[in-house]
Amino acid sequence: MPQVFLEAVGPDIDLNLIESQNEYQLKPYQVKQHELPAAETRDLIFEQAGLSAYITDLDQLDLDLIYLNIQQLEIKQLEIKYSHFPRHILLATRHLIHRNSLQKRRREK
Amino acid sequence: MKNSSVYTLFFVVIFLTNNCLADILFLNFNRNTSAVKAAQRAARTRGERLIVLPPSPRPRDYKLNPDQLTSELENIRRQHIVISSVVFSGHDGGGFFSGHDGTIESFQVNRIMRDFPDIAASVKTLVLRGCYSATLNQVQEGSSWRQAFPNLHLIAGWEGRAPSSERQSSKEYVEDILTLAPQLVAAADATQVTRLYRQIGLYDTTHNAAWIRTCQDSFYMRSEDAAHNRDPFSFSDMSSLCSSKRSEFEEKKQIIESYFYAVDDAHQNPPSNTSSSELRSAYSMLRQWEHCLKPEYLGALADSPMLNPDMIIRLIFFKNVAGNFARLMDLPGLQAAIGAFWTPPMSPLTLPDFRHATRAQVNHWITSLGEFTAQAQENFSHLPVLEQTPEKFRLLAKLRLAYSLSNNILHRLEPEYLPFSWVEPGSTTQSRLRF
Repeated sequence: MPQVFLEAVGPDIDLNLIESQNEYQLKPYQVKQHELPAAETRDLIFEQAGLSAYITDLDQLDLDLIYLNIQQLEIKQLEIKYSHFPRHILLATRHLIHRNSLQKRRREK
Repeated sequence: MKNSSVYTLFFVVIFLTNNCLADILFLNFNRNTSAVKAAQRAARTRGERLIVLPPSPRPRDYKLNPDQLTSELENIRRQHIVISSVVFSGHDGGGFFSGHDGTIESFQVNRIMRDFPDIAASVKTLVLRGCYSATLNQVQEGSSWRQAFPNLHLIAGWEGRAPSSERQSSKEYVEDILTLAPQLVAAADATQVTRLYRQIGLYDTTHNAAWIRTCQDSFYMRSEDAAHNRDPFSFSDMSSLCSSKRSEFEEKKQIIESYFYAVDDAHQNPPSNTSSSELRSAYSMLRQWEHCLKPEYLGALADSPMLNPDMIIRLIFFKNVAGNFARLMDLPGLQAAIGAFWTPPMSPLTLPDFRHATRAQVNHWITSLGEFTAQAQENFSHLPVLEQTPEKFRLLAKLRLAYSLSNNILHRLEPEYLPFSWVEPGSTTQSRLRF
């Protein structure tokens, strides 16, 4: 039978007493930390940015990887990784993805 | 008169009666006179008044932002005006309206309306004149619009790019959808919804769409479907469709779980072919049908952490994740901390070669590290106070942190701690926390 999720750190000892660096400050575990938007929102962003025409015949995972890469990589890295996408489309996609993330963060506040 | 016609007439009367002495509120973000005139004509037909914001003449420095909207709603409340419909008209859409005269987002509207429950409850029709404003995502239950106005019967807008406000198709859509709203809401069935929708002028020249709640069902009518005389999408159909997918979701969950927990020899590692595997197929199915992952369709299954796509991506590329973990974490430091706390009869604990270890071996090691850490902490607490040195305390803290992070990163594949870029080999991104 599969094991249950192991317990997240629940410090019985106060780590901050002995280490003041941020690296020892733990956040509580979150069951679901969604980085990806709904597939429909992702597709809408790609379409609005004009990217859809360049990504036909890709499966869901490929599309999600493109989304996450565009969200997180620098434009120079993206130009190398996705050399077949025009730069202005990469920029437009990046802008829309960041706007979507910003909206999501505001919504969750 | 046929029964259905009597029925329709009855609901039109009820709809109009509920809205008597009501008004249409038009939020004009982009100085859009054509759409205002169109809404004016519809209001006249409906026997209502049209309230336009910004008012004319436009006060200097007037911005239709959340603060201004709040103040306008306070005025409306003071004057006991009942609002039956709201029109948002501006650039873009997708839950975001902007223009020369201000910017507002749907979640902000949702927050504001909580302070005006009476006005929110009176609004039955929402027209969103902007691109991508009435996609399934925007109109579905739980969306900001539906939360902001809980008694909505109709949300109309565009599921693709909207035409310019000056275009005839845009003007006709705004006027006709407002005029036809009472009849659409009173439609007896899906076929009647389509028939009424086809009465909207030039409806088939743009990608418009509307969510319509009748007494029988909720429908999503797309211009494309209306143009082909097809019935609108029914939300009760979606419920049965999603329920029928339950066994497939359960099957995929089991596949994901098998690799996540590495339950047997056949699943000790996620498939080495990341481009084509049952795990990847499970991911694709999950993303295609994720709109079904709601408790109302699938009960507790909808909340299973096994069906979190962020986690599954990391599981598919587990080999790269483990390789990056080995490169970017202080494994020699961890080994030293383990060595400092090892005393017989504790089982010795060595670190696996993460680049070559299977997921089953890594899971097992994390469990062992957890047990070792608990024992180390127990032993430490029994040491004489003078032997509880700051150095030993620091090593214990490192051990605990290493266990926590190994668990969160390698076992749970938790995005909070495991950067997405670790799915590629040779990542240079550090985890938010390190040991």
